[in-house]
Amino acid sequence: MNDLTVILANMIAAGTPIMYALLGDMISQRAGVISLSVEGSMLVGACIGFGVAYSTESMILAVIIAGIMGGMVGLLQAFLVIDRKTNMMASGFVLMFFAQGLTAFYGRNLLSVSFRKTLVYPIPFLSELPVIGQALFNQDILTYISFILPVIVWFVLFKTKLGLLVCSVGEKPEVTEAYGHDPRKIRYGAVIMAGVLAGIGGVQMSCIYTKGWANGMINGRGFIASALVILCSWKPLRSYMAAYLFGLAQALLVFLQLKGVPISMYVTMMLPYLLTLAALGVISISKKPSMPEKIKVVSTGTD
Amino acid sequence: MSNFRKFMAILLSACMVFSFCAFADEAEVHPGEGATKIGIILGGNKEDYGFNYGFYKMAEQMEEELGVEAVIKENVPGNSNVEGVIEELINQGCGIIIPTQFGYLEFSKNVAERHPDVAFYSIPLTDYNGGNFSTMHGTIQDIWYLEGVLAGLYTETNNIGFIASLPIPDVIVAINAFTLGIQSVNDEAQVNLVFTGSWDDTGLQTTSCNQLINDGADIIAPFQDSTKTIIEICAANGIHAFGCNSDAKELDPETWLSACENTADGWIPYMKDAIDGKYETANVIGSFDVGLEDLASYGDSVPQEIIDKVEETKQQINDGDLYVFEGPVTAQDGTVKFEEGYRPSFEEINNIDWLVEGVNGSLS
Repeated sequence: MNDLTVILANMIAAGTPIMYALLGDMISQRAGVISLSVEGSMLVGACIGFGVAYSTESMILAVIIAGIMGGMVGLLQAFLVIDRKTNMMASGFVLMFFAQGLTAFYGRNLLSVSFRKTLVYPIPFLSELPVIGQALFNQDILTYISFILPVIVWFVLFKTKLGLLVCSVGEKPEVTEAYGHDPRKIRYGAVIMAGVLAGIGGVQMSCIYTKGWANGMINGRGFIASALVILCSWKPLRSYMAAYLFGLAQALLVFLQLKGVPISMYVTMMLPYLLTLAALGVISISKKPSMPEKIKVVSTGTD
Repeated sequence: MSNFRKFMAILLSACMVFSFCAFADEAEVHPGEGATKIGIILGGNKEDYGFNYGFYKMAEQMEEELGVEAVIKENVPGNSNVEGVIEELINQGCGIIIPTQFGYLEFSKNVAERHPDVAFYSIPLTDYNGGNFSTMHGTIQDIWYLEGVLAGLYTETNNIGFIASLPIPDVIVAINAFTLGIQSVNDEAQVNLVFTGSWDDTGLQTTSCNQLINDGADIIAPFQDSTKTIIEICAANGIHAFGCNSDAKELDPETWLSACENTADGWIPYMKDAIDGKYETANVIGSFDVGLEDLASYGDSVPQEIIDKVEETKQQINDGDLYVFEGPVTAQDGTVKFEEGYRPSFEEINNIDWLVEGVNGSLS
């Protein structure tokens, strides 16, 4: 593979788990709840998904179970934030620690086993294309889905009635209520959906990307996804840029060192965070803020 | 109320009397005497197939040879909680304590001062050494040199990848010793070095592995806490990998080459003395010569002639004919760091902050 293909392939591999969690949290934030719990959902999805894949050899079952288990963590977050009115940041952190303990305990027997099924399905003709062929069209199903997922989320959020309802809950729940819908139920749905998508991102990471379960393997990727939602200004189509920016930074961290480019590894390591910080600063003073009203309440502390 | 005061007065005086007794006893205390249990405190858990896994194997050997029971505490963070964990172990009857992490140093020293009858064997180098607090520090350059010899003879593409964590002394020593070992048997092989900035990020390990393999590497040497991901990725790509700090051959005997391993041989005589009531503060620094480090078992794919050559080199190091880092050693920028024939001391080796010539990589 030539250099560009290598960077592209590694960028997509590292960015895909982020993509799922990012879009999940974006739906949740559109409904007015910041789901830092996607970190916990990813962990649970990675661990239990890998366990299912290992014991049943069925990737489809693994993805379904990982989605359900990730959704369960989302359900906890939804219950705590929506019904019990806890601080959504605090509960997100607590659920992350909860998931860490849970997966460390139940994942012990998975640490020494391997799942070596080839899950790559090259697309005929397209995978033969120069440069991008090997990187884009020689992937697994979950990665292919992640290519179109931002478009699906965009379509659902902005072109369907359901999406409109989700967004209205995040802006003015009174209006939603006036139209005869229960904002509570819609919020529940959005937060659980965040967990489901993050769980699938987790299983992609453990079964396909790193080919194994390791304690705490998500290592903050869920939190990064949560922060990248802001970098996307809550617009699903921008998640291509945000998720692959993180992937690109990881790919470049290794690539620049291997090619002897005199850029310190510490600079490449902080690149995604630096860009997110910069984006935060710009978005906060922008005249047409895209932040959902209910999130604004959280970030400015006024109601 | 006066009854309560009387009671308190009696209680306090009793406390004082007892504490005097404790002082009186101290002069004749033999740390670790008659210990039937040893307590081991780990920062991770057994299934990391790295440092902590190695200690489980060592504990088995200690149990067998010393006739004691090993009590192992896992996932203990390096903060003041560790004092409580050690106190608990002592309460359970552990006469010997092994705190394995750098982060435990200060706290284990505190407990050691409170319990002069318990023998402590710590690993990192420290000024705390003294009294009932001993140090057993394994040095790794000899073993990594041997791994380098193995890699240099084994490689077919003459391209060897090294996935390091952070540029700290142990890691720098390992990279340099490994490269010198390769160069001693293979002039053409090059070492491509990648730092991940983390000890256990499986995602970065995968990205590093994939790119090194794409560059033509047929051997990957990791200096990481958990190496399972790297072994899995190497197995999926049909190349070979070393482990780090323990014998994890069982993960994949075909992919496995060897690793640096902590061994219990060096600890046992000291512990035996302690149990017999002849404890003396130890400050042991060394490798297989003192039984603290060794080369783990060879992988199934390593041919006998390479094993013979590695064993021969090991014998030379043991006999003192060969000294890792003996000059001339040249840094990446071409400056000669150790003159011809010069044998740097342990401190000098530990203070190396440059890479030897032949490594493709940078410390910044």
